[in-house]
Amino acid sequence: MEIRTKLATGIAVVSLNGRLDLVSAGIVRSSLSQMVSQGHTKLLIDLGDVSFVDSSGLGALIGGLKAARQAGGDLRIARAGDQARMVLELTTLDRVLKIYATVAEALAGY
Amino acid sequence: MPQSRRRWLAINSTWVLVEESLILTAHPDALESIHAALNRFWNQASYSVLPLSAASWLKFSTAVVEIAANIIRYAYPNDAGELGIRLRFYRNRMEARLCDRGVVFDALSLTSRELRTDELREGGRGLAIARAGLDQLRYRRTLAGTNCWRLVKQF
Repeated sequence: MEIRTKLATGIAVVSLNGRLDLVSAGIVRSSLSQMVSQGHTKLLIDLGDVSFVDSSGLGALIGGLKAARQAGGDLRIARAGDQARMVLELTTLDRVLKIYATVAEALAGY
Repeated sequence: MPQSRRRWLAINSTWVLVEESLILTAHPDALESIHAALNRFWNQASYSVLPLSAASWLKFSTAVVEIAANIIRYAYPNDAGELGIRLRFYRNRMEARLCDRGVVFDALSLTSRELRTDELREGGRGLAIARAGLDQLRYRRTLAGTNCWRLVKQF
């Protein structure tokens, strides 16, 4: 799992590459926590290059969401693929997390 | 009735049209092989006459990974052990069987994290995701001490 972060007008765009699952959830969760504690409370997770998300991966995203909101910010999603959208819908987390089709739309709407 | 439809109806729903099997050590490293096997299985099926749906496949394959991850995490708390997976396409459904020789899965003693229902809980969604995406999810413990999960998704 590769994690790359770019800062854009007060929003930290976190691009993930690979599977967001049991193996990578821990490192993603601590990465997001670290960003929030560094003052980046508005997170945008770009899932464009994430081939697979499972319940562990969702847990990492929810963990990041809680940390961000507790710090007065938020965590949003962009470019969720078919499989990611499926698990988000199946768990009704698509009602809890804002999901955008593109990063541009997400930055505009944040 | 067109020829192809007659031929299709002649395929018995007990016939295994595509099968993929593997035995792995129940360790997170096994997930790589499991995803590879799922991809091979799906690719094989795409060469057949099965009425495949990408949406159904996403739910089924995700369920397989969720159950496998559960086994990897919980079946062998003290030592290494094996996980067997068998994937099958039939005329009207896809099935997965996952078996291990580890500790019994005791549904009645689900930890509090699985039973919490608050939206922002960080854990405990694996089985729910598997169950919601499948037509059937069954577990049994054999007298020989094997745990077996059976996952079924109809077309």
